[in-house]
Amino acid sequence: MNAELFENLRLELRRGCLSVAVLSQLRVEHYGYTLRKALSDKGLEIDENTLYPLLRRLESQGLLVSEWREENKRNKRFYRISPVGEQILGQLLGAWQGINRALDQILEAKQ
Amino acid sequence: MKLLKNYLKAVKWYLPRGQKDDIINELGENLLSRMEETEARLGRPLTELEQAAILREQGEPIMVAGRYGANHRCVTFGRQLIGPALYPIYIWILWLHWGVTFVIHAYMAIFKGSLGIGAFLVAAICQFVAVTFVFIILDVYHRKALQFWYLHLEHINPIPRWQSAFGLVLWSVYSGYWALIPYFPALIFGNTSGLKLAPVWHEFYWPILLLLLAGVAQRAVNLVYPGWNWLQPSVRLVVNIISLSMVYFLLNGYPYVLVDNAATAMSEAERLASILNGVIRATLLIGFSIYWSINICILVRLCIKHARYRWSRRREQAELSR
Repeated sequence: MNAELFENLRLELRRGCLSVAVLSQLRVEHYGYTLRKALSDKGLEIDENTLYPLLRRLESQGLLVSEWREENKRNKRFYRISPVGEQILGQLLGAWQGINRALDQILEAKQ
Repeated sequence: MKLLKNYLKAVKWYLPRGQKDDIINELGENLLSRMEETEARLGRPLTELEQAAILREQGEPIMVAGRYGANHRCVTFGRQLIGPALYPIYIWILWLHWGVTFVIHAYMAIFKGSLGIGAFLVAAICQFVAVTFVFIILDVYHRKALQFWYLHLEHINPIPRWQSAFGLVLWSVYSGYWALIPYFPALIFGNTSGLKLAPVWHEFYWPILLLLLAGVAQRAVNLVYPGWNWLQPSVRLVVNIISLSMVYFLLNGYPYVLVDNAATAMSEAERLASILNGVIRATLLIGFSIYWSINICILVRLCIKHARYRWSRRREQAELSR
């Protein structure tokens, strides 16, 4: 029961962070598989079944732009952050830092 | 990359309309990249078992499609009875049954003046109960044992769904027609021919109906599980052996059509009965010979294919365990 509860809360905590991480990583153009690898190399493991639908959602919200292009004789869909995405990412990072600072203070006060 | 193709096909089935191709192209490309990277790391091409492992890791097609906003409707009564994986097929089959029943009833009501709205409602409710019951059982099997069927059958193509659907419609109509004959004898000869079926048919009514229903069941199951391609030759073999033995008894049961004593034009009825008896006998002799010859060829081909598949699978397993 506790493990399940923890897992639910952890996923909730992670959900918002994933969008920020993806937007941030897509300042450099990637296609799905290389993006997943890049995030994984930086310590953020993300399931393919979470990442690919997330990319589509962010694109439909106008935060990403995508383009089908040939690479190594195969068609791949490349994503990168859009100007609106850049703007939103800046705001999100500001909000995230604010939350972080507040959390740090709360946790320090407890200790 | 046949496995990947099968997998993507299975995912595509559940995806929202209008986005299918786009999602499948992207998903396929990413999976292919992942496989290629593993191949580069291992320094050799992936075996089919290794490809299957990657696809299994990716997840069940219904689940993968669900992340892209696929429909997740299901039938529940206290608990889930028919899950989202089978729900679209369940609804499709139900509508198909109702549609065929409606057409038959409408035809009977308009041209024969029988089978009213009450009969249609009774038939529709019976079909709803029967189809729902069958799908509840299928769902239990689906959840327990049938995950990733498309990964186990890489050497044998799944039975195309259109083929099963077409056969299902055809056999359902035959079965419905045959089932209704005792209640509506006019379905065969009309009301004015002065003919009736010989008693030999009464003995064979149930066996024929059961064989027809076996055909319907096989096609319904293969529509849901195209990967169960062993079912088609198995059912055909059983049905054909039984039907062959029935043909023998039917040939001995001549005549098949008798003149009804209440007939108004006796000589015309006798002439018609004689023609029909000849046609039925010829059909039993010639028609079944052709049908059996074709079926034996199909069965032999399917058996060889299955044997080859089993053999290659065993060899691959042995190589991997070395």
